[in-house]
Order: sequence, then structure tokens, then C-alpha cells
Amino acid sequence: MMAQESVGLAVDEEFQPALPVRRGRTLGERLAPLRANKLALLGGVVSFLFVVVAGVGFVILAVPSLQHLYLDQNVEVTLTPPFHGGHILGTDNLGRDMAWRIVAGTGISLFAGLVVTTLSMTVGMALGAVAGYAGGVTDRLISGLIDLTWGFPVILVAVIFVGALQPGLTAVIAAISVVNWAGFARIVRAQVVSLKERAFVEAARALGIPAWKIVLRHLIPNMVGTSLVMASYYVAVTVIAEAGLAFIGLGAQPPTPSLGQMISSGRNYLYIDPWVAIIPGITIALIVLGLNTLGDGLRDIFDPHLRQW
Amino acid sequence: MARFIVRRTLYALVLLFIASVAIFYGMRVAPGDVADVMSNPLNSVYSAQNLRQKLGLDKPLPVQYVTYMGHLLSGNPGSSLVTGKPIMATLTSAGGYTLKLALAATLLTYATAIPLGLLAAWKRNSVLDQGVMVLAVLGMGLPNFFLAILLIQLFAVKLRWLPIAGYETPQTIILPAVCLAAEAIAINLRVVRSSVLEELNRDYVRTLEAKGLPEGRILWLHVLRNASPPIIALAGVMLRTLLGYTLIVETIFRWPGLGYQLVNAVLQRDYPVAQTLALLLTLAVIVFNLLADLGQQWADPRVRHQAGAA
Amino acid sequence: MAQTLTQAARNDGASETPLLDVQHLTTTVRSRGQALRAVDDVSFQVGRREILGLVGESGCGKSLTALSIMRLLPLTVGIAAGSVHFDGRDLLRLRPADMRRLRGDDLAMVFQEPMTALDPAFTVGYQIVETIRAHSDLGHDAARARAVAMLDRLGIPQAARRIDAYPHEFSGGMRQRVMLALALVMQPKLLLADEPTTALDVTVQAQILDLIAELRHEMGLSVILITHNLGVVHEVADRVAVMYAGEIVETGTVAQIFDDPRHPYTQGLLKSMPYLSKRQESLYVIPGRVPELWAMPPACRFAARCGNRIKPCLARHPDLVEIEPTHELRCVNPTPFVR
Repeated sequence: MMAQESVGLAVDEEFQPALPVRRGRTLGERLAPLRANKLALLGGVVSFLFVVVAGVGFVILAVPSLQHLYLDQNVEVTLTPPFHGGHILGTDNLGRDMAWRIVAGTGISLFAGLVVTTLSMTVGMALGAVAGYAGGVTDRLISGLIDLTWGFPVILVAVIFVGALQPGLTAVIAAISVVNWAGFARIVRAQVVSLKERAFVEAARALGIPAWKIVLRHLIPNMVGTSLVMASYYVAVTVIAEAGLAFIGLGAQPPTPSLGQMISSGRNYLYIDPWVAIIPGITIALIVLGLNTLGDGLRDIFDPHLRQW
Repeated sequence: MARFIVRRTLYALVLLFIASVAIFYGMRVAPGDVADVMSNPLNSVYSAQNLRQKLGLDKPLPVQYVTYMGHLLSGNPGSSLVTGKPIMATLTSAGGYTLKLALAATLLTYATAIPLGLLAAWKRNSVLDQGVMVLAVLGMGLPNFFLAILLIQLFAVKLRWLPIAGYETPQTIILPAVCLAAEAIAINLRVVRSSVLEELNRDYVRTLEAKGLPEGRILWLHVLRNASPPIIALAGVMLRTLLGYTLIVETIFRWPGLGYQLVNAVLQRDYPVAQTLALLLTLAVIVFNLLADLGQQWADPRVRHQAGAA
Repeated sequence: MAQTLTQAARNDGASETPLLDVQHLTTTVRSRGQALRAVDDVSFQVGRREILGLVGESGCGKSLTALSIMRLLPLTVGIAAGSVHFDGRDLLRLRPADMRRLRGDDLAMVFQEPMTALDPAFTVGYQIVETIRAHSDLGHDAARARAVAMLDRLGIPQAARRIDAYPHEFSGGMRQRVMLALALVMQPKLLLADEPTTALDVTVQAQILDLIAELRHEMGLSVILITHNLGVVHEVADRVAVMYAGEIVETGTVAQIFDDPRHPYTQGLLKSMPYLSKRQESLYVIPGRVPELWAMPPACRFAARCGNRIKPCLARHPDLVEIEPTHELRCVNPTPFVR
């Protein structure tokens, strides 16, 4: 009976995906579930705002003529609180405009988040899918690697990396990527393992479709939702990690601004002007909260099974 | 059960070996290390010649690795390049400090998260419950170093109740422990709450009530016991993450533990110290993993029987 | 058989005041913004050493009735009215602490799913000893001895060893015996058994029922046996109360209910029972469906499905009336039963 059904399905297998990978819906339609879930919406809005800020930040970091915005020092107006003398968020201990520094710092943070997540996601999903689909020795090898890396404290790895390379954004990004990929791989592997048993995969195999094609065209599209959820969480994790490392001096080096590093230097002036340390901190907290909320909301939409707590 | 322990321990040892090689090579492969160390103004002990000899940099890498491991396992990991102090001494004293801090943070975490999480689940949707959830969100969103700044600002600068940094008096451990525990408390709160909620829905709770047992006993003995597997599973992950955070928290509060020493060693390019500490901390992570796995087996008798059969 | 036992019970001079006297019990469920009456003005009594079968289909309110008596209702359910006199005291007016003392001691309950009803993290012995020590001053060893004796009495082989086993190490039937042991170890006066055999297979069912019947005499126990299975009731019960849509529609002795049922619903239930002795073309099914809680008809609740329906049935809500000694009926147009 089942074979009969599979064959019926299989005839068209070659020409279109077995599961309805949604194409051709308008942007409005696609965003509909997002709109319905207020939590995801709020998180999405906040995250989007920060992405915009980061975009601006990235521009001023990259374009030489704009770099002065966050580099200009003015010894006469050091450590002014917000809303004084034309500086919306005040100035820091060297008289630099806090607002622009925050913008630039956000750019760095989200840049790191983006790069790390893209890297980890690609590697993680690839390895996870391979492990889940192939099974056997390959699976055990990769799973072993995942187990070793997965829960490892990022900070420790980063510190070790910095021991090997120079302190800087590159080292930080490399370090965080090395640890983060395992999280993706774990979940992807579990999903692949469960999807592998489904009828449409058997049908595709019976038709002689090569394994890599099955994985790429049939399995991966089903994991888009989960991947989005994880991506939002991991960007948040990366932002915190990068900030933490910058805080203890192992991250992006001055003059490249980093929110963590700003908190660290602002720490010396807590008696005089606490804002210099607090504003970057609040920024980080908001970015993280926004991303976490977005992740929670996306998870509720796509895959309640991911709910670990 | 015994077979399970043996298998897991072997696995852990293999992991440890891999990690040690990785750390070792990571540190050694650094470009221009000797020159960096030489130009380090803090270096008062060695000159270029005996430095090279000291580090054994003229020998091939695998030989260096074996030599180093040999020294390490026989209890003599060498001395600091910067201060010349024997590393063992640093290890023991710093280790003590980190242990104290970790213990304090762990105690704080479970002493807060378990009762609050339990009560939040018990009085679901009450004011207490909502308050607890807000606390959880905050704990997860605020990066711990930022929390440190805020707490320092509030308690040390404004209120002057607690000292800013240092390690002499008992009060000095409070702020670091709180910062270290913050995220762990938040996550555990959510896990405890959801796990307990799930258990409260189960049939056996009704049977226990039908037996006429007092509420307290039902909650704290029966429900908590059954709700513990996810919490214990989490403990393993949390402890590892906590280890990473000690690096930051100790640095902020200048708490002279292993993390503080490691960060300083890396910043000063003090390789023997950095290497040894990194290895030690990695060992700790792997051991925690092992313990957490074993703990999870113990908590659920059903799994225990299966593991015995396996 | 059960009838004779009841007579014997009556004749041995046991006290005439019923052990349990439920009067006008009404329990409401909070749903869709309203308080719906899942148990509506229910009254019945249970005598000493008597087994009352509380019969009805799923959703008729019989489990809620039992839970109301035990005051073990979930948060969204509440007792709206009535009284439950147990051994002279109104359970509904007791302080929670006093009610808790009664539970497990004089008043006990076993539930339907033995699979999930026991705490999986503790041994069976621990759980029984826990009950004993919660309700008495016995020391650990004495309590343990008593637990072993109880398990043994209930037919658990090698009780002294099995007492240290975990619930998941027992089969379904054995687990139900453990549940009974738990409930009966303090020699309660009343046992509420909510579908104790439904989840078990037929041979085990019979064993458990026999056990309950034996213990009734040994321990001077009264039982409310809740079930939708009339066969079970016929086996073991002395009297029967039939519930429909939250109400009691007929009560009587087993003989009265089985030989001379008057309520059309009861008759329908009896007709639906398959007979091994007679050839049947198809099973009889009562036409129609039970009305939903929020759409309860104001007059007779069974009228829509009743073949004997007359005009008054749709006009007034019938009262529960005693038509002969020990036989009550809620129907204005009963007809004799024809199989």
C-alpha cells in the first residue's frame, strides 16, 4: 500500500520538490504569521532598528572621510552627560561624540554577529546534515566533534585564540565561529535524522536521486524555520561574546570602537560621568533582548519543539 | 551502570588529549612570540638566549609537546616567563580563589532559582510568577559585565555597602558571585518553572494528594525530584558557560583566580602560564561534562536501568 | 449474590445511618466565561460495607462527583452547593488541613490509569510507608512491615522483595494492586474507585474486582465503584446509581436496576450490552448524543433521545422520586423494560 503511494508521489519528484517549499507568496503573505505573533513582531522591529543603525555604523567605519565622526576628540567637552551642547548622548573621556561611537560600535557588533553566524551556520548545517544523513562512522566522528565543541565556553576558546593570534576582531570572530557551529550542527543533525525516515525521502532514494541532491533540495528547505530561529539566538550570543572579549581587552583594538571596550574604559569614570559606561551597556542589552525576543517569537511560529525552556 | 561510567570516562580522556594538543599547538604556532616576550616591559627575568632554551623552541614541535606534557603530569609545569614564579604555586592559590567564587555562584544560583522557580510554577500566573519571569528575562538579556558595572555603580559607589574590588574580606565575594550567577539564575528559573509545571500536570500528583500528604512534601520531595532531570542536564551546560564567564568576572573585580591569571597571561604573552591554565580549565570543562552526564543518569531510575543494560 | 450480601449486611445490625450522605452536590466548571454545572444537584447515600456502583458514560460527571467528595478538584472547577456528610461531618465545610488528614486515612481513592498514577521516582515501598507515617505514629520498621503485609494481601508475589521495586517494574494489573494497597493500607472506611479496571484486560479485571469484594468484608470497607461497564457493576455492586448529563437519573439495588429498570436511559444501557447467550444481528445503540454542558435543555435532559417522550417531558425538569423502597427514578413516563 505504502509503496503504491510512494510511486505515485515519486513520478513528479524529479521535477518539483516533494514538500511545498513556499514560493510565489507575496511579502505580505509571508510576514503574516510574524504579524500575528506580537512577541516576534516586537523583537523583529527592535532588531530591524538596530540593523539599520549598524548599517549606518558600518558605513562610517568603512568610509574614511566619515571616520572622523567617531574619532574626533575635543578636550574641552570631555565627559558631558547626554543632551548637552549638541551631543545627544554626551561625550566620552576624550571628548568624542558618544552617539556616533555607539552607532559605529553597533556596526562592529552586528558585523561580528553576522559574519560568525553565517560561517557557523554554513559549516554547522553542512556537517550536521552530512552526519545525520550518512549515519555510521561519519556520523560518530562528526558527532564526537560536535560534543567536544558544543558546550565549550566561548570566552575560554577566544582567550586561547588570542594567545595564538593578535588580539583583534579577526581573532574574536574566528574564536566564536569555532564554537558556535556545533550548536547549529547538533540541531540540524537531529532534524535530518528524523526527516530521513519520512516517506518522501525513501521515494527519492528509490528513484536513484543522489544523496547530496536529496539533502540540498529536499531536506534543507524544511529546516529554514529552525535555522532562522537559531540564527537570531546566535547573533545575540555573538554580540555578547564579542562585547565581553572587547571588555577585557581581547577584542577589536582602538581606534576601532567596540561597545564592550567602551564600557571598559568608561568604567574608570563612573564617579564622574556614569553615562559613558552605561549607554553602551544598555545598547548591548537592547540588541540582545530584541534578538532573543525575535528568536522566541520565530520559534513559536516555526517549531515549538525547539522550546527547551 | 559501571560500564557506562567507564565508557564515558574513556571518552573524556580522549577529548582531553585532543584538547591538549590543540591548545599546545595553538599557543606555539603564534608568530613572533619570543620577540614579543622580549619587548614586554614586564619581563624582568629572561634574556633571549636562555629564553629560547627555556622554551625549547629549537626542538621539533611533537618533542616539545611530549616534554611539556611530561613536565605537566609530573607536577612541574615550569615557571612564569614574566615573573619567574613557579606555575604550580600560582595554580594552587588562584585555583583556590576561583573555586570559592564558583562555589558561591553555584550555591547562589540554585538557592535562588529552585525555590523561586518552584513557587512560580505552583502559583502560576500570580504576581510572583510574573515577577519571576521578568527577572529571568533581565538576567538573560543583560551581559554580565554590564551588570557588574551597574552593581558596582549602585552598591559600591552610590551606597557604599560593598567594596569595589579586592579579595580580602568576605564581602568582596558578593558582587562577583552575583554577576557570575546572574545568567545562570535566569535560565534555571525558566527551566525549573517549566519542568515543575509539566510535573504538576501529571497523574501521580493527584494520587499523592489523595494520600493526604502535606502540600510542602508533595512539592519539595516528589515533584522536584521528578522535575530534576532537565535541571541537572542544564547544570552541565551551565557550569561550562560559568567557567567561561569567570574569566570576565574575575578580571572586572580583580579577583585573583584562574581566569584573571589566564587573561593576564595571554595579554602579556606569558606562554607557559597561559598554556597550563588553558589546559586546566579545559580539563575542568570536560570533567563537568562527565559529572553532569552521570548525574542525569542517577536522577531517573528508568534511565538508570536502561544504562545498566546497555 | 450481591443482593444476598446486602441483606446480610442489613441484617447484622449495622448502623442505619449511611456512611456517606451526599445531598444536592453541585460542581461547576469554568469554561467559555461561564460556570457550567458538570455535577448538578446530585444526591445519594452509601451505607457501611456497601458497594455502590456509579454508572454512566464518559463525561456524565461521575468522576467529578468522586473528586468533589475528595475535594481534589482542579483549579478551574469548584463546588457550588450541597453537602457531603461522611461519618457525621460535612466534608465540604472542613478546613483544608482537616480534609487532608482524612484523605488516605478514612477516605481513599484509586484512579484509572495505574501506569501514570504512581510517582516513578520512588519505590513502591517508600510510597506506602510514606502514607502510613503521614497518618500514624508508626516507626519506619513497623510501617514497612505493615506495607509488606498489605502488598501480600493484595496478591503481589514475593512482597517482601518487591516492596523495594519501582512502579515501572510492575505490570498494569500489579500496579493497580499497588494502588489499592496504597489506598487501603490505613483501613479507610470509604474507597472511591474511579474506573479501576478500565485500563486492564479482562482476566485481570475479574481478579481486581474479586479482591475488592473480599476486602469489603475483611475490612468493613464501603466502596463507590465508578464505571461505565455494567458488567462490572453486576459482578460486584450492591446498589447502583445511574448518572446522565450530570444528574442521577435512577438508583436502586442491583436486582432492581438489572431486572426492573424504569428509566429509558438505564433501559437503553442494558439493551446495549452484548449477550453471549443470544444471537444478535447488531448491537443496540441509543440514538442521539449527550447534550453539551453549555447547551443543557431546561426540561428532561434525556428527552431528545427518548422513545417514551410525552409533552410534560419537554415542559418541566423531572425530580428524583422514590417509586418503591430503595428505588428512585427521575422520569415522568417510565415504562416496563422489555429485553
